[in-house]
Amino acid sequence: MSLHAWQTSLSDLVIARAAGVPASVTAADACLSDAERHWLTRLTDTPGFRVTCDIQRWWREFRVQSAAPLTLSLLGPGRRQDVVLEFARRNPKPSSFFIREALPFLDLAAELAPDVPHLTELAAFERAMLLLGQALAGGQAVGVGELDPHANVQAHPLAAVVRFKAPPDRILAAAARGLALPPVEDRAYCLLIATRLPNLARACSGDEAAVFDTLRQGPADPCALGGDPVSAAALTTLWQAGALRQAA
Amino acid sequence: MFSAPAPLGVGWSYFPTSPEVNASVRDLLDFVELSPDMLCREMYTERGPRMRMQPALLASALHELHGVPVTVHGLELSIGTASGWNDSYLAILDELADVRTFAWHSEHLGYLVSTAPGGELINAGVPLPLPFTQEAVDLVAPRADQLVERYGVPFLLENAVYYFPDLPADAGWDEIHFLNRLVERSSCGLLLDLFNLYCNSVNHGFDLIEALGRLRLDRVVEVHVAGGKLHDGFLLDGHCDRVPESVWSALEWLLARAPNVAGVVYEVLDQAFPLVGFEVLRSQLERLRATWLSARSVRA
Repeated sequence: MSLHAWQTSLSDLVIARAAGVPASVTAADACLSDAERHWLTRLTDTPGFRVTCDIQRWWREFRVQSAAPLTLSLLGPGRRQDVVLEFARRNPKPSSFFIREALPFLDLAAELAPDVPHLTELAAFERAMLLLGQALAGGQAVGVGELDPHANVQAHPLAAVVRFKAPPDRILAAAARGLALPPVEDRAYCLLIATRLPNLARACSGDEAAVFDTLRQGPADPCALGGDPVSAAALTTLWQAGALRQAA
Repeated sequence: MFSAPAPLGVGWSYFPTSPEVNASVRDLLDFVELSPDMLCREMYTERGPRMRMQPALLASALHELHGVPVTVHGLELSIGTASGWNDSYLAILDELADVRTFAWHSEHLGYLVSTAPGGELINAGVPLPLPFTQEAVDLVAPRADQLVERYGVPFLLENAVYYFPDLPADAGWDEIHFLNRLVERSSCGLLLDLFNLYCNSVNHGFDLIEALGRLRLDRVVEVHVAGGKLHDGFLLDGHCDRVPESVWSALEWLLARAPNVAGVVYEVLDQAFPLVGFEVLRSQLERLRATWLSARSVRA
């Protein structure tokens, strides 16, 4: 028996079926004996194979559920199943790690369900929190010194501003508890996510959001950017929050 | 040469993100089983995805488990992968071993990762079984010996649950024969997951006690018990329920006959804990303790 070929073929079959695409032993499995090929071919019709693929998909859904519970809860049961299946189809290769699974899922949920009120913003929020949480758990330094007015600054890559269409605290609470969401409003409620904030997030002003957006485009001279008092104040508070860093 | 460790007693899986649950059962435990994989995250490197310890989770685990005997139970080594095991798991186990002693370590007998013809790693997303063959024994046994040598403590292989029918096997071999050949070829012991074996006996139609009667019981060092649910006619290894009575009976049978069992563990998945709850968790651990102590007193 070629154990290597058998294992590779078996993995391929499980991954394909779990992703909802036809699973078959391929011509690439040239090292398989006839008996092995026959066993693998028969396997895909067995209940035990289907159960194994179900378990694989449940694990993937569980990882997404653990890492992105709020976005998933907004989808509701029917839509959730559709998005999970599409996620498996578009991302057939699983990972044992939650964030690796959750990030593409969040992107896909925002793509497939932009009509679900607050979902796009919630997905952006969970994405930013996952990336920031991962970096902090990994021991990534978050300390900042004094803002050097003579050195260019830029947005910290782990920081984000999410513009919700209702008070974010009400949206987050409703999503977490499965309650009715607040109605969508015409105005934006900005939430800053950054390394040095208590709980990693706080409401931010439109000025802070505007300065942050500018610095997301690229580094800028803080003296030029903070030419007016409002922008200067926003620059300072964003810096203190850990939302900015000195440009490399 | 196989060397049996000193008995520890009753253990339970450590939940890295639920210190309140860990604390709620501490009085019922003699040791805690730690999965270093759960303290890790995935990083991308030139060599592909690698596991990296998360310092905050490691520090928290070390703090919480200070003064508590620990065993290590790995999930990601993929010891049965023909093209090579997951050496990034060993790197994190090295990291743990540098800062924390453990009485023994164990790993699931199977494979999770394989290698595509182009060298790309393929994670199946679910542990897959090995065929019951000499080829698989020849692959795993030397790796088990390497692990015994590398960490200087016993290494145990855990029997797998599998749902595929008629796994390829050498003539006259079945799961029990395969496990026996493995421990006879190497210096490792067995982590006998009684619930896994029970699931296999239910799903594939064999007698649990008859199978246990053929197993090298002298090599059983640790025993797992758990509960699971039925799905499409299969009993699943869900770690989400009470231990079935048949498994309790098998545990009593086993503890009366296996001379080197050093620890018994009730397994509950972190995410399944809400289904189980504190009350059931404590009652199962109390029963496990009573069963363990009863068997020990009879042996004494």
